[in-house]
Amino acid sequence: MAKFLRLPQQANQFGLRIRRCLGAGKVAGDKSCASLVAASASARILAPACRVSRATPSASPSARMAPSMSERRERKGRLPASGRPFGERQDFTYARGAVNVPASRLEEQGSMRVLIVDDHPIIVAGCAAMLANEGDIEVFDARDAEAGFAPLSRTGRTPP
Amino acid sequence: MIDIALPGASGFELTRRILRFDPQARIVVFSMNDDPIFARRAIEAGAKGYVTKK
Repeated sequence: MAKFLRLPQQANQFGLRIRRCLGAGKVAGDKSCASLVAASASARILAPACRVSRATPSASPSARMAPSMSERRERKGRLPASGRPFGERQDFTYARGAVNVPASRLEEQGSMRVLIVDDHPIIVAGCAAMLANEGDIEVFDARDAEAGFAPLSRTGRTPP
Repeated sequence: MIDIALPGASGFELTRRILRFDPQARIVVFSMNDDPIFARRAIEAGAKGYVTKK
């Protein structure tokens, strides 16, 4: 319980340090302890919704949410930018939503794009939840080094 | 934001590769390890900062 009570302060300090390093202008909003814990507990539900920036009001409502079953079925036959079929590796699945963001939209909006590479989904979800408070930050995530290049390759250039 | 311990390659290696790909990228390495040696290695790899998860 004591650890739970210390979490908001730690989370805010963590978010503040992250934002200072990334060069963001203002301090992250006050993410309450309860919502951070909830976000961490439901990592697979919340994190995909955080991937699309709120700074794109023109984006379709479906683009802001996790892919529906029909969209997933449609994507099934498509290859990601890496050329590796989806689902071939278990640890690639989590980055699937990120690699499907259209490169043209990323180029147009000019918002800050943050890529979180960590193999612990709870860490990714917590960081994504903190950054999701800001309207001009687009969060991507990847679970291994190889998948970390997938969002970069969507910019139209070839990763090394 | 890159963790150090990753499947496939270390966070330091990934930092170098991303910066070779995009020199304008600003990278923060974050880890559970608060050993200054890791922070030094992160900065040497080109990271803008090193943040502990503690």
